[in-house]
Amino acid sequence: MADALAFRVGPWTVRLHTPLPEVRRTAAFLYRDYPRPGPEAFVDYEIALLPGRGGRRWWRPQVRFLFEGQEPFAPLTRAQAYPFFEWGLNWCLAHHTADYLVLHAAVLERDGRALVLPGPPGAGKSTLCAALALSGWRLLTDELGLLSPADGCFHPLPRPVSLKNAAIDVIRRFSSAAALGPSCHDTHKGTVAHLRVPAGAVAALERPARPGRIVFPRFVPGLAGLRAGRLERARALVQLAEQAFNLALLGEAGFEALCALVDGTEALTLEYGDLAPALAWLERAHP
Amino acid sequence: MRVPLLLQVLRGSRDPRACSAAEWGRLVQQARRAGLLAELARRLEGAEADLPEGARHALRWARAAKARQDQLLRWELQCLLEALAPLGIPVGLLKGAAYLAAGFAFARGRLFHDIDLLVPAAALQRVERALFVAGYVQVDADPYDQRYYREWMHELPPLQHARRGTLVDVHHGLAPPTSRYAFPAERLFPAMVPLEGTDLPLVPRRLGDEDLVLHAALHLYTESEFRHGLRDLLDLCGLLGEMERRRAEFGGRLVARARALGLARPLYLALRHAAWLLGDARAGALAARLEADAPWAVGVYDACFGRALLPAHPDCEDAFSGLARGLLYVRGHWLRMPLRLLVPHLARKAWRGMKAERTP
Amino acid sequence: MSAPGIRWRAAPGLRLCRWPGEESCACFHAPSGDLHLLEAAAGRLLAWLLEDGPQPAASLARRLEADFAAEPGLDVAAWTEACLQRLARLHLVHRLPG
Repeated sequence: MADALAFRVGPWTVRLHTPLPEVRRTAAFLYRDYPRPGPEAFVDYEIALLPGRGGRRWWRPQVRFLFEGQEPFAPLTRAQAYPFFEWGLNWCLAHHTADYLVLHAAVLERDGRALVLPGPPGAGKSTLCAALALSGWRLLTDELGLLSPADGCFHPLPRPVSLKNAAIDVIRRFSSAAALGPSCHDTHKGTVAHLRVPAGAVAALERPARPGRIVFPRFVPGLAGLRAGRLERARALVQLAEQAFNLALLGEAGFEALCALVDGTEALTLEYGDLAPALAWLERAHP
Repeated sequence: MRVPLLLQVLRGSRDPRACSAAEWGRLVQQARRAGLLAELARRLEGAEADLPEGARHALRWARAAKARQDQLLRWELQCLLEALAPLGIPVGLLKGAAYLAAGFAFARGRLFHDIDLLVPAAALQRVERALFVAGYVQVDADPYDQRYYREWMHELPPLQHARRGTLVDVHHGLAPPTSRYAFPAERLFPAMVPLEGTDLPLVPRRLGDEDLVLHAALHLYTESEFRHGLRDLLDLCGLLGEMERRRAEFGGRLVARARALGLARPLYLALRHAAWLLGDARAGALAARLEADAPWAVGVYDACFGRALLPAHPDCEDAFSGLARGLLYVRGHWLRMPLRLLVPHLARKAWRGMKAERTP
Repeated sequence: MSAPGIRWRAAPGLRLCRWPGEESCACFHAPSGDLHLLEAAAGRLLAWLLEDGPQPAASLARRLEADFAAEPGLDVAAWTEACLQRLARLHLVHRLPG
C-alpha cells in the first residue's frame, strides 16, 4: 500500500492509510500545514480508508472506514470517500478521550477569549465558523470543542471546516482567501466541501483559549435583521450537555466543567438570515 | 506467527515501560481490540510517568471508561434487582456482574458489556413479566430468533432497557439443553454464594467457587465467537488465583466437580490454553491433572484456538486466522444443537447475512 | 399524602447547580448519568435535602411557604408531595421508612 499520511491534530496524532488517490490528494491539500510526526511517533488514531470488498470494487464501488482494523460503520459509496474520513475521524476523536469534555460546537478565539457556537448540524454554525475563521478569528475547531475540566479552557483541534450545499458558494464569495477542497456530491448530507484551516490557526495548535461567550446560533432563511436573546444559565447548561459526546464518561467532573463554563460566561441565542449582520453582531458582542 | 506484543506484556515476558513510542501505539490498539486496555491501565497504575504522553492519554481514557462502566453496572443492578425483589426467588449473577459484585481484585481491569442473570427455570415467565414492567424489552422481534432461543437455548432472547439501552441476558442454565455439556441447573443452586454488603435491593448470589471457574471455561470453549476470548481466558486465570488464595487444595475440588458435571474437557482446554498463551503456571499444573480428559486431536484445537483467542487486530492475524474462526464458529453451534437442527439454522443465518449485505 | 413518619432523602450521587434569580436549575445524577432541568422550587427542595439531610414532606412544605410567595389558593403541602413523587420517579429522592 502507498505510504501513510501522519499528521498532528490538536493533542493527538492521526495516521491515514489509503490507496484511494482522491482521498490522498484531498487530505494532502487540506492538511498541508499540519505538523508531520515521523514513523517512530506514538499514533493515537490509526485510520484506513479502503475500497469495498469483492464485487464492490467494480460494481457500484464502496469505501470502508477502518479504525484500528475494525469497521465501526457500514461502508458508503465511493463518492463520499473523503467526507467519510472526516466524519469517521470525528467519531474516533469524540469517543476516545477522558481528558476533555467534547462538545458539538465550533470554537474561535479573538483577543484571548473563546467564542463558543454549539449546535446540531443545520443550525448554521459551520457557515458562521468558516466566515469568522476567514475574518481574523483564530479557529480552534469547527465541530468538536475540547473543554478541559482541569483548566476550564478550550483546547484547539482545528480540522477542515465541513461546508454543505449553498454554504459552499457563500464562503467562496465571502473571501478570496478561502482554500476549498473538491466538492463531493451525492453524500447523505447533499454536496460537501471542506475549507482548509488558515495556517495561523494550525500554527497555534497548542494554545488554549479561555471561554468568553456562548452563542447558540440558528439560521432562519429569509429573516431580515437579527433576533438575539439571553439564555438562563441552567438552560444553557442543559443545552450544552445535549451537545456533549462524553458527559456520562466524565461524570461529575464533566458536569462541574459545564457549571464553571456557564458560570463564567454569558449565554446568548442568535437567529440570523444573513451572514454579514450576524458577523458584525458577533464582533460587537465579543467581550 | 510471532507473539503479539499484547501477549508478551500479559505474560510478563516484555516490560511495557521499555517499549518505544511506536510500539506503545500498537500495544494500545491491540489491547483496545481485545477489551483489555483497562487491564493494562490497572497493571501500570502508578508506574506510567515515563510512558509516551499518547499512551498515558489512552490509559486515562480506559480508566475513566472502566469507572463509568462499573457505575452504570451498579445502577443497572439496582434497577434490575428492584424489579425482581418482589418475586422472592434466588437471583444469580453470572460472569462480569458477579465478579464486580463480589469485589474480585482481578475484575478491577475488566470491561463488561451486558448483565447475565441466572434464575430457576420454573420462575422464568414471572421474571420476564417483571422485567417487562420495569422497561426491559426484547431486542430482536424476529419470530425465528425468538423461537430459536425459547426452544433450544438456556437463556431468554436478549432483553434491553427501552431507555437506558443496557443489555440483559436471563439464563436458566449454563449450557443449552441439547448441548453435550448440558446438566440440570438445579445442581448449581445449592452451591451458590450470597453476595452480601452490596447495598442492593436483594442479596444476589454468585456460582460456587468451582462452578465459577467451570462456567468461565465452558463459556469460552462452547462459544462461536471469540472477540473477547483473551479477556475471558484472563478471567479464568484471575478466578483460579482468587479461589486458590481462599482455599487450600482448590485444584482437587475443581477437578472432581468438573468430572461430576461432565465438564472436564472444556476445563482441560481452557487450562491448557491459559498456560500456553498467557504462561499461567497454576493453570498448567491443573491441566496436567486432567490430561486423561484431553480430546484426541488436541493439536487441531491448539491451532484454532491459538488464533481465534488473539485480539482481532491485523498485527495478530495470519493466513489461517479466518479459517480458524470459521471452524470454531461452526463447532460452537455444533456443540449446542444436534446436526438435524444445526444445518438449517446455519443456512438460514448465512442467507440472512447475504441479504443484509445487499441492502445497505 | 404520605404518612407522617415518612421522611425523604436525596439520592446518593446528586449534584445541583443553581444561580440566584434564575427560574430553573440543573441537577446531575451521577449513577445514571442523567441531567435534569428543574424549576426553582423543586431545586430548592433538593438543596434542603442535600444540605440538611432527610426530612418529612411537611417540614419541606413549611420552608417553601416561608421562602416563596405562593399563588393565592395554592395548596403548598399537596404541591410539595406531588413534587417529591415526581423527583422519586426520576430517582432523585427516596422515601425512608420512619
